[in-house]
Amino acid sequence: MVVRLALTLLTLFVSACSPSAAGQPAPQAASQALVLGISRDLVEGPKDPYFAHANLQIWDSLTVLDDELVARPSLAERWEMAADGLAWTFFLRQGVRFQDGTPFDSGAAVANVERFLKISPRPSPFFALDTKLAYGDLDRVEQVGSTAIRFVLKTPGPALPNTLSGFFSAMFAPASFDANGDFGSAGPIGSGPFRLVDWKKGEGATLAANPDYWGGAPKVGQIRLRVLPDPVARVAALRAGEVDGLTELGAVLPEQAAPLSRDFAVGSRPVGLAHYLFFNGTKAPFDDVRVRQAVSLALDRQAIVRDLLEGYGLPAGGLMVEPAKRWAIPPQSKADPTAAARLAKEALPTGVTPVVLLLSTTFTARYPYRSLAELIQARLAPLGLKVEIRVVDGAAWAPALSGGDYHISIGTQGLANGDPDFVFSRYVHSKGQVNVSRKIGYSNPKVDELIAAGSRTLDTATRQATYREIEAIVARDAPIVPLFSDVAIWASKRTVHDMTMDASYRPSLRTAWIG
Amino acid sequence: MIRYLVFRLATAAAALFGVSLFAFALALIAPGDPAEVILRRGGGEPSPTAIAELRTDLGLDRPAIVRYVDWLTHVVRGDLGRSYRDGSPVLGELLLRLPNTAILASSALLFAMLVGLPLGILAAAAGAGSDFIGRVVALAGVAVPSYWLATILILVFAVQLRWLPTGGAGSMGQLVLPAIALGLRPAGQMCRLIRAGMVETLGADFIVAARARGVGHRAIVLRHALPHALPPTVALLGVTFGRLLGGSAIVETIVAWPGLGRFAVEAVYDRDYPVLQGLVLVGGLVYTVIGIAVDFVHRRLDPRVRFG
Repeated sequence: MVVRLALTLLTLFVSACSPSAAGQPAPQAASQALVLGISRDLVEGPKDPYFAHANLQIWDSLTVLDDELVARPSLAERWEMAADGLAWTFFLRQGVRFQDGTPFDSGAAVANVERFLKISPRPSPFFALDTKLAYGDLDRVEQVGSTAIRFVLKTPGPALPNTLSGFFSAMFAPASFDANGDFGSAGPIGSGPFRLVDWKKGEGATLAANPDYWGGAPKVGQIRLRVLPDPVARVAALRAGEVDGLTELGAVLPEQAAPLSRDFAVGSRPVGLAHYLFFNGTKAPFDDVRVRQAVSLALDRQAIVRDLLEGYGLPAGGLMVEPAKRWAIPPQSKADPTAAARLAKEALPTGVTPVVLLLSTTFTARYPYRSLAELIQARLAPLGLKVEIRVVDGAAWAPALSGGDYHISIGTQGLANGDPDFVFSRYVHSKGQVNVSRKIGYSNPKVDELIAAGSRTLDTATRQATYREIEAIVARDAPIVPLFSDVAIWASKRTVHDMTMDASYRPSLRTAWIG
Repeated sequence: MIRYLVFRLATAAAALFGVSLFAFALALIAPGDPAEVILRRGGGEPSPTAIAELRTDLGLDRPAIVRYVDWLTHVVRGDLGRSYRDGSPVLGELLLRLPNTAILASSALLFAMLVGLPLGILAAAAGAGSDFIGRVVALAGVAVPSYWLATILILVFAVQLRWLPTGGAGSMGQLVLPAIALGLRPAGQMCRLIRAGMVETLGADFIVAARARGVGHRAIVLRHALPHALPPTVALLGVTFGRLLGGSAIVETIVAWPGLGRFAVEAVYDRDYPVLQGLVLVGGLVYTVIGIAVDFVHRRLDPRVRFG
């Protein structure tokens, strides 16, 4: 009877299992298909303002950031700012067609800008759409003939090519979206080197090459992306030969790089992501600048990068990440535990001061923050600060910060649009959104003045000087302690060539090939 | 029997109501605002005004009791609402993933039965050597964490030996490793239960009588002793199936299996209450149905059991 039961169940089970389309990867024969493992889903779907992440290269933008986070031409060939900074004209690349054959011209470009203006603000797991951040104080956007568009501003926007780079100037064929600005059944029709053929939420996507791409046809005919959220399983898939490479954000962890490099090609590069410590400056003990400075002096950034990140990181100089060469400053001072102890002794009451270091699981899942927290705990103990490490999930972290229910926390900040005003105005302006919502409590009228000046100045050299001055003041006042900027690591089979990533984690899908 | 069935279904409905109310209440207590979670994604720094506006759009500014009753009235019409995260219909999302998790849970259970049942029988009736093996497997099953086992199985069978794929879904091969990882613990538990039940039964008078009548050892074990050991095992299978349907998030993440477990954990992080309430409801329903099925199987196995 038991045997009969087992056989019946087995039959039922076998008949219930039907292999679906997203089966095992095909053997890598002479077919021009590249299979890549990624850590997160890069296609969000029709409700997302962009449908899919920029890194899939289905769509192009007017401008993109280069490796120094400076805007460079993409769908816009060049641009001109009016002398008063109140208008920017973008001259569009000629002869570009969307993947449905329709031309990319000023009409299409304006339609896309107007679409964003209509649907903004709209959340997205990739990059929250906010047209105020993108275009600044925009009066209107207009066509200039069929080959250019003009943004007319109410207040000067010296960094517009930067602030609208990437996501914020994504261009789709107007047939992709309806009158409400939502994507239709045709999906995202861009002008990029790849077309989205098929996707399964949370599992992966298939991209087909666009041979008519204006920047040169891709070398592979097809790319299959597999979402593999677990870092160990990701590397296992590479070792088992199921994927040709691992790429994009968080592809390979620092401790996995050395063992992998014995059998695979492993690459790395600095990216525009900063990790920093911040304080609740609205209550003791971190309302005292000396205690904050003591913490900054007690932490050896070089040692953190060397020991926690196996060298895959860059000690931070200031708030601006290292790839942003135009703005970044080198590390200002070395760790000095003696000076730290002296300052702490001066400022803190005798005995032990308990403080809470709050971590968010959104970060601990991706970065070695738990180890970092333990290191911080050890370094602050000689200062008389007894650190209690508390880990909460992401949704509980934000309310805990805004309720001031912490003393220290750690976070990341990207420089997605390459412009310093984005960071400074949010973090160290007395009314900055992050400053206020996280109870960082920093207020320095001189810094506020400099930030305002920087956002209006049209000359790069003057802006550089302004932001360097801000960095110097912030380094002294230490409301935020920049720790290190990230280095992204990727890996691939040795038969895969020209597979790299840029400073925005964008994999070189167009130029990669197998041979 | 029909009356019993109706009674069970009525109590099930009451239980589901209670469970959904409990889940709703938990959601109210948990820190974190779904509107804020949504607006903070992709590096957003929303203003309090923006958060308040979204809360109004999502109906979160209404009194809790109004929200609950509204949800309930939609549920009885078959509408589980829409996800806060991306507006997709909750029922659709659950139905998309439920079969995947059910397939994984069934496979794990099948593995548990194929390993646990024979081992338990052998442990009880085939001598000290089999007993020892049975006890070792049982211990391994309950001591080894499923996520650790999943990782080790991948490293050995997928990476080193290349016998099986490392993960994904869609083919039978991709089912094997996660099914073993999830099935080893219930296999161990089954083995122990069967062994204990059979050892107890094998010492009973009627077994002695059967032996005296000349009934063979195999018949004694399989036809006379085993049915007595099965009822608690069936109950264990039912509970395990229910647990596997909800609790395999970590293994699903490791093998990239598109099931409910991972979906549920993400919904918790996102404070996606419509999804969470839908999950609780569906989970409760499944548990109830399994419970009723277990009762009926129990009745079939043991005629002494009466309904009511």
